[in-house]
Amino acid sequence: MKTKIEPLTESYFYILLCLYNGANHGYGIMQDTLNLSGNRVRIGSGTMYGAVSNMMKKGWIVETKSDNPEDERKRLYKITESGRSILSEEIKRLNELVESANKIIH
Amino acid sequence: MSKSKKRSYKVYTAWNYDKEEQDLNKQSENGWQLVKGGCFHSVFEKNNNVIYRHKIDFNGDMIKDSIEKQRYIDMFEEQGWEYINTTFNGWSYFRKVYNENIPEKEFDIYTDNSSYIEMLARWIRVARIIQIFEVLIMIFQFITTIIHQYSIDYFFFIWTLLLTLFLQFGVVQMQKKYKHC
Repeated sequence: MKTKIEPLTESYFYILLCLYNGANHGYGIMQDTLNLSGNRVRIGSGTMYGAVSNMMKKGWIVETKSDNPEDERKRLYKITESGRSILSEEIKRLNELVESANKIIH
Repeated sequence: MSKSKKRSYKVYTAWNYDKEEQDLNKQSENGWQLVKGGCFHSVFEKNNNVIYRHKIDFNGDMIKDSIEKQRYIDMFEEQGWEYINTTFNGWSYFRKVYNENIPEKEFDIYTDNSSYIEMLARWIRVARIIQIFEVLIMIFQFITTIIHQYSIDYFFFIWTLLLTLFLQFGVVQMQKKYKHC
């Protein structure tokens, strides 16, 4: 039995999306989100910490270290298989919403 | 020559953290920069060459774990916040250099409703736990009063009751902020 999936907030969605193709640190995630969203979605530090620690508890992301010795001090985050599958489910849900809208509003 | 310092003993309740932020910003404009924050004791240093904006964040969960606490501080420092200190009960003080060219959005730490509400809820949860303890204490004091008939027991009971009501007032004030999202 599938448990009811809660929609992701835009911040959670963008964090998972930004990590989809590779690990990144908090500032990088924030910048990529701004770029992807055309400067609309900003993730503040309090929001970012809440989202990241929550997603780590859920096992959607993990902390990792950089291969680059210069970057050793920076905290990197990586998406997990669980995180990827949550993101895919969410994209399906969003597509369903848009398709429904297109059926009603031409 | 060391910078001149001043101490403030102004008391701020948890639900007036936003008023405290505004006061700190005003102090900064007047050249007094916060070096240590707290709800009944703040320390300032004179520096007329900079203006800061302040944010006070509640997170009681991360103070228990030094790794989480460092993760927390790092996330703020990454976005240009300077960490000042954290109080024993989980309020952290941050400041960021201000000039009129920086857009206001850069001074927000909560950028969506749900994370802001989560912050308020964290504090309310702690307040509720304290209230439950206070009610248990009041039950104990009530029983003691009946057994002993000492007037001092009435006093402790009333005192605990007032504290519980005071906290309840605080919880209501915090809940009012939900509407300001």
